[in-house]
Amino acid sequence: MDKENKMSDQRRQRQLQKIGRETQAEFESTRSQLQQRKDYRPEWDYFLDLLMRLFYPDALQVAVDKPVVEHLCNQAPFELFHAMGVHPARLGSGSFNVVRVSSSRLPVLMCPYLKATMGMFELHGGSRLDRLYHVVPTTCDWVVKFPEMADTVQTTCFLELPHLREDEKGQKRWLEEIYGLVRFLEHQTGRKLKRKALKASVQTFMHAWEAVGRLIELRRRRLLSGIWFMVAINSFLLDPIEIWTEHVLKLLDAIQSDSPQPLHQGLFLAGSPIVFPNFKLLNLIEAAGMDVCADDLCTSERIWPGGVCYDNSSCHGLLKTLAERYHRACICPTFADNERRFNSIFNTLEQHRIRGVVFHVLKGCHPFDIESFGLEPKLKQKGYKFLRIETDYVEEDSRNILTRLEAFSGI
Amino acid sequence: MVTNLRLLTQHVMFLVLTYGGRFGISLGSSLPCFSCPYVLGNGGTCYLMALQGNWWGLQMTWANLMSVMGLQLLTHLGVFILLVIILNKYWCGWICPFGTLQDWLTYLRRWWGIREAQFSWLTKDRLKVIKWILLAYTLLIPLLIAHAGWHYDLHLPFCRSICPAKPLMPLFIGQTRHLALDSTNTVTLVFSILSVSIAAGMLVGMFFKERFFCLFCPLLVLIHIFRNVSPVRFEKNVAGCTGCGNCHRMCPMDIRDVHEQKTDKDVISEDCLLCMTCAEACPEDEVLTIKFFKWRLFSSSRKYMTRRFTKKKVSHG
Amino acid sequence: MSIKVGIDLGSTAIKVVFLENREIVWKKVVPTIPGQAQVANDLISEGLSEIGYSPDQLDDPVVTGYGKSLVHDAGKVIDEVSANALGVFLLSDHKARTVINIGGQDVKVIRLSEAGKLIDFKMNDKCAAGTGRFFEVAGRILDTPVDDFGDLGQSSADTVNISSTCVVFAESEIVSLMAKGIERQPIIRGLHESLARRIAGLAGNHDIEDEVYLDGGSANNRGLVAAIEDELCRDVHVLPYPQFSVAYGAARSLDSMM
Repeated sequence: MDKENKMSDQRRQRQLQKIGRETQAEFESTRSQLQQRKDYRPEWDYFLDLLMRLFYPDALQVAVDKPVVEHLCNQAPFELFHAMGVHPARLGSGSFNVVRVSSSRLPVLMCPYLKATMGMFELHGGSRLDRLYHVVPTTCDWVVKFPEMADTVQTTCFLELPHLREDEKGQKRWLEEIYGLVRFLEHQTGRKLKRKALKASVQTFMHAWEAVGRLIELRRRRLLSGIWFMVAINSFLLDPIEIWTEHVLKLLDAIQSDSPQPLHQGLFLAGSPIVFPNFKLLNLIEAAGMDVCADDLCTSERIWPGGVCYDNSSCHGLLKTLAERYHRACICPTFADNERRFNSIFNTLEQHRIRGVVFHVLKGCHPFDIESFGLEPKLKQKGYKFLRIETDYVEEDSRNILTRLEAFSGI
Repeated sequence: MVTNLRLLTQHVMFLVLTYGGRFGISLGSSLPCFSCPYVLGNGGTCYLMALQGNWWGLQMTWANLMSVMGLQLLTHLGVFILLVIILNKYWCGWICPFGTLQDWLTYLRRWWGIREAQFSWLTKDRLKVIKWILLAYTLLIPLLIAHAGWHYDLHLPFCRSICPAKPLMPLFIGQTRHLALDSTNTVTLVFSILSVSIAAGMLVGMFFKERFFCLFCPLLVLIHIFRNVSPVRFEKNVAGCTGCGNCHRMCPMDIRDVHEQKTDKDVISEDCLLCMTCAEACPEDEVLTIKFFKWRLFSSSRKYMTRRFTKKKVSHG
Repeated sequence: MSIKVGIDLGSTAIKVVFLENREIVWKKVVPTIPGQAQVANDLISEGLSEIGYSPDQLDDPVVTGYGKSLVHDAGKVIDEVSANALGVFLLSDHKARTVINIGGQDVKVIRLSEAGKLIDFKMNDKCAAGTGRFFEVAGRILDTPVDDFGDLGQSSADTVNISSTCVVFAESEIVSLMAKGIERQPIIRGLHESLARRIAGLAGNHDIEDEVYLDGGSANNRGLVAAIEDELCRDVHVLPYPQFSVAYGAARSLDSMM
């Protein structure tokens, strides 16, 4: 019996090693494909190197020199972690290969992003990173069950997210959760939350937001392709904020001096998150002759739901501001009173004369799935075109998707 | 920046209205803001005094309307309405010296990092009625004195028993007389006790809550009545609003109406001071707009919001 | 007199048409095999010799279909949905407003405007249920050429319910039906109805506007057409050469009018 266990352990180890090699190859080949593009410039190497840290998380640990907190949703305010001296990071990856590490223990129709995250976690043995804890706002069903399946409940701080936020009760309850998070962090780090530190953190992130705002403007003007934008934004939080912001500013200066590229048809991309190295949909969109010039993915433009403005700089006032800013402005379909979320899409479409929306739904992502059906008639009524693409991380439906995208560009 | 312009205007008007009289400035006695007549050497006085003063002497017949007193009443009223129509709520947010005083207390509290007191939404809605009650008090008692034989000692009821500006504003000219109790007779004693206690309570309240007194101010609703005829317009493009809630959070009066409005265009609510902080904080382009006739005075924009709330970067060594 | 050439490199079959003065003067279909570029070139040579023209009378071919990226010296490449829409619109004398294309491995429902522009379309997801492959597999088990399905299906008074949409599972369902002694004709009719139901499910009522045209290789099957008409409750038209409308559309796409 013992010998059998040992054998099966060894076999498992070999399997993991094999998958590890293939995942590494996936990361590196995606990177080199990007480096071979015609619009590549050396300034991108910094961001591409950061993205490799999704596979080598120790590098992140070394770079930030602080405990790393993994959080599964932007709803937990970054500024708070930063002020407490820990580094928040979303370590989920879009690797197709790593999914099979854990897929036998998980439902087939489960969010592939979380399957990949769990797979990556298991691949690295869960302990390579000095990961103190996870912070999990209870957004969708998969996220809620994730700590249990990944066996990290002991080191997880759950934040019960109220799904109604237009009323007083929801806002109060969410603020209570944020206070709970403060207590959790204080307990874990042994430090108290200081008002000045929180204020300073808010400003650090505002500077990053300002830089990102300029990046967004560039892409609206088609001076920056959707794929490169995603590279930059996906790499947020994989390095100390200040350093990242500096590199973004350098990149901005370099691009500003360019002449405009030929105009592809511009697209708005909405729906489930897209994370490196799974740029399948972005590549297909480009192959079909279009370019994503606006999006509201929570791993892209909507990492920041907007700037932070507070009128009350007490600790309570700052926490209230952060809680509200993430809670109320979030476009995630997990909220029940989300109707105004569509307005931001319409605004962008109108302002920048974008003709259509591609809605990306990951298989098993029910909130976005149902939301796509709500959005479609509203968009079509206003005369825009709409395409729903339901897919996961596999490559086999690329042909099918490409056909649809090409037809979509012709409408 | 709008905030800087507003600060400048507030401070200039504070000086003009508190000390202007010493330099020969007089903006009249029909001002729609709390420029207290008990501050000697003021540059203009609050209409509420005229309102209380005019009515009680009048016997309300057509003949008397054409008398000096009647004409005075009509003139005051006419000028008041004109001023209200032209500037509407800007009197509250940009000119009122008592409002400026409240803002100073708020800056002090913020500097010390003390958190603001908060009312629940229900409480805040319930408090709204007090403004109307005080307005009724201000209007009815003088009328009752004039026509129902109520005692003259009750004259100027609002100024002498309620208004916190009467004890507090004269302090700016070194006048502490109004902090004392007046024991001439029972009525004056009661009035002065009320006046001083309310002022003390207001002081505490104004420190812990932004623009606390404005929640109870009868002049606010008097001005609000004329909002539809004023060329000053505060409008929202509901199709552009993404529900971020910044306007609600930044509002000194904690107004929810701007955030919650999903159908109509006009969003000047009863409590609004037209401080325009909500429009500054709005991250969407051209959703909140303040207009004067057809001219756009200010419209929200993302760039402005980012610039306004990002402090200049301090480079670390 | 120049000849326009349209090449449709489909997943199951390769179609080539020659057009002269907007009329089809030569056409041919062969099954898809590796080396599609070569197959297409061979077909063109074959066509030239059959109608007696020389290569320099040919315009550059317009290529469409799944394999379009494999042909390097094409004059123009156009996506198959647009080609399909254009082809059916022109061949139907501008009457078509909806096109249902049952291809080898996909099903598309295409909507056209009055001017023949592509307004919207729907396509099956990964699963190939309801495509030409369905009949191919069924034909093998029933030992019947797919071309005979039309007559056989219509000649049957009875029908059976084929519940599986999945091609692979339908296979075993047909085998068990045959083991029960059920004849080919009702089974084939059941297959037609199953396919029609699948298409009706994909299309939805508000996505269909008259006049509706059925397209693709399977459109020659009258039994299938009847079943679809029954399911959609409206008339379904079929063009004379339904398998070639995509290639036709490709060839006509260079016309300056469109």
